[in-house]
Amino acid sequence: MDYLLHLIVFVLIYGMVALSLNVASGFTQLISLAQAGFFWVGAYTSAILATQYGWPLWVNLPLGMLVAGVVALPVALVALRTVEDYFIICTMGMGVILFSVMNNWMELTRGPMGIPGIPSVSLFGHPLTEKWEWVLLAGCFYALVFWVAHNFKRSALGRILVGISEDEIFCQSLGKNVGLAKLQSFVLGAMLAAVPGALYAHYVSYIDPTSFTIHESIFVLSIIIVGGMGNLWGSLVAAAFMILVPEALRFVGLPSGIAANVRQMLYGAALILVIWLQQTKGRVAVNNLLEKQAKI
Amino acid sequence: MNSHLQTHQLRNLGWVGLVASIGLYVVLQNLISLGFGDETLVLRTAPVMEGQKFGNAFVSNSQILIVIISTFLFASTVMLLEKTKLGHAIRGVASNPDLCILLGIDKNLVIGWAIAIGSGLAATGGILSGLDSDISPTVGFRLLLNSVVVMIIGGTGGIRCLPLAAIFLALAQHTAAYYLDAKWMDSVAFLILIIFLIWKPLGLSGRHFKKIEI
Repeated sequence: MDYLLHLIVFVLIYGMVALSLNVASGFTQLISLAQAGFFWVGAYTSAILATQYGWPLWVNLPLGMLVAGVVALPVALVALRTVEDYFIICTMGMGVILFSVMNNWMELTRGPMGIPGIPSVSLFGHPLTEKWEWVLLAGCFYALVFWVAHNFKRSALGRILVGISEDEIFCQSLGKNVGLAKLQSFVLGAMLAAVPGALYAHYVSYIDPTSFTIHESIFVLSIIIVGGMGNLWGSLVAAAFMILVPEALRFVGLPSGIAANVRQMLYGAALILVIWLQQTKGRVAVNNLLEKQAKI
Repeated sequence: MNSHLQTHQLRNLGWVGLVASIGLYVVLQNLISLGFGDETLVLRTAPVMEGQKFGNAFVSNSQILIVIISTFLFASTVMLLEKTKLGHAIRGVASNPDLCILLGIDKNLVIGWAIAIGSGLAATGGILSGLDSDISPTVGFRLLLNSVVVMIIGGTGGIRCLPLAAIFLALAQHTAAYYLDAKWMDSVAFLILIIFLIWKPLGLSGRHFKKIEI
């Protein structure tokens, strides 16, 4: 039972990262591969503040969001000068730089040794030790992040972002500040990614750089592509699917050495399959519309 | 309306290809890791020798082989793109796919050829780098990062500036490794990329390319 609750906490945490990536790139269709980096910034800020100064989650989490936002701002300023493939490559580069920093800045992050012994969260003097309490806590934060993302999608800014994904130049010609809108969504997405980061650090109580590599970014990207870009409920379903299916493979009796590879292959294959289906379906839809137009 | 739908579809295709290829990369890497294990394997068959001496530098035989083969392949790729019919078709599809269809060029066939040739060149690069340093399932990622940076700083419009960009990147990385630390080599590559994207977005070749301009 505890195992199942543990998986639910992970689904909620990765669901939150997927939501934040949806805010950063789901609406504009500018895919960012730096999201695991911001997830890391949140986790490390929280972990360092908790272990060095003994501060509680309630202080660390807003500070982690702030630091992630500050890191994301120059990243966005540089990366948003490019579009499409080049934006993906540029953010991937940022992800690699962030990873190098955390892996090599020994004084601050202890490098590959990681930070052990991060204290758990305590609520009104009562430390959260039971798994179900963590499910509730992560659920509350998930609801909060979901609420922010949902309202963001319906806000004036969110509508500009959807406009950008459809026709950026037309959007600009209507007098919308396209660059500022993209910058705001990218930074907000990075700040939201710090929330699950801080929760992750306090929940797992040990973090090291290997949990935040480029593969993590690809994993989160595959969650939002499987769930549908810009689809908020889809992110949760896809996060559950992508985390629970590899766990189910354990019960089939796969040796653990192979299981990690199979897990990665699964999300790589899901990425290819979903894109292939979308492309063929999209092409069929476009062709149908064109035929209808031709008849009229 | 028609044209709007089509441009919309084309725009989506912009990132779809790259994301799908990332998925393919993850699958292939893990297949190799399943088949051959995660440990580092040695490709060379002969014992390590001292190599030739040029001034103060020792250059191993395999490194000389790498220089010869890659120079040859680069020259033949340039010849292919500039002198043959297929090369002209590839460049035509790159600059204006719609016009190519009008001229009777099979777009998908040409793209297929381009991918096949590109993959072959990439495989050669992998084998050659395996001769020099050993191989493991994750070795491709670093090659990929570096080659993407070289592609962008060389200028995406043409391929003639690529060797210049590659030498520049390698020199910059190893200077950084010498003065700072080898662990910052990947970061230096991307810092150079970022600097180029800010101040010289068209790369060394300076040719215009529609994706970078906006």
